[in-house]
Amino acid sequence: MLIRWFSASPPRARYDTLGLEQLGGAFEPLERMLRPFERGSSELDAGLWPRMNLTDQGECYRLQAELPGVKPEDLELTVDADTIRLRGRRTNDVPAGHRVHARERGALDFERVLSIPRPIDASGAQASLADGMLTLELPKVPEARPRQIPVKTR
Amino acid sequence: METQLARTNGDHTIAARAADVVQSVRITPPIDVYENPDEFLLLADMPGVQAADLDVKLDPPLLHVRGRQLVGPVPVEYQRAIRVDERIDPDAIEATLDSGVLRVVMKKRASFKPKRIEIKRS
Repeated sequence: MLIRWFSASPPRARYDTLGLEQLGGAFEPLERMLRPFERGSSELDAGLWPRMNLTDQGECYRLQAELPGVKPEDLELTVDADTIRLRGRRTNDVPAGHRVHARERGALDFERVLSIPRPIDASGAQASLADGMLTLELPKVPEARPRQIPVKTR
Repeated sequence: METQLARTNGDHTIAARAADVVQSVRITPPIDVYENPDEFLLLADMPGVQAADLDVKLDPPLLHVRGRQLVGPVPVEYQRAIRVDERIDPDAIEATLDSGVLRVVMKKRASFKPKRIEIKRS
């Protein structure tokens, strides 16, 4: 199955299509059970949001997170030597005067925590958000960078 | 695929390994569809897709949207089709892309828009 990185308090993806959340979370297990059966739902694992990739680029790690429709001001990103924490909110209101035929794109609060395999220099981290994709570059500490070892002949 | 690789490698940087193996990933993007008296509105999540890599095509009775994301470690292909009917004016479909969300506005033909009927005095 999928490998998840969750914080101590799991993110509460608030899917509003069923309106059950307004009952104070009492029906959350039911809500979770019903989620796959919501009309037109394409994702069984709606709790895993946003989807992320973490890649090792040699000198740095690169995190890419899919954040369609998320505004930069609704995003909070913190990094320390071995952890990335991404929190935020996507708002998604029904446009005024419209009626709904399908509503699969949730409005939700999210939080994901990822551990970084080797120590990084958090002060050198750089992040940008373009086309709904967050890219975060985290330079490794010098000791963690790959080193070419010259092979001598005798 | 990624998960299997993760299990065998015990490696954190799963995607980097997966990129060596997986050619591309196909994803059905989640959508919203709305309607008002004048138009239908389709929203689709396509993070990382640029306008040049986007294709919106009307092939009645289907509207196809397709986008290719080439910025991640593995190329992603987003594909979805929705059924539309004769109320839509094929010459008045507009698509825009903002923050990874595709927005397609489909205007209704004039003959299908609600019309107010004047009441004449006799």
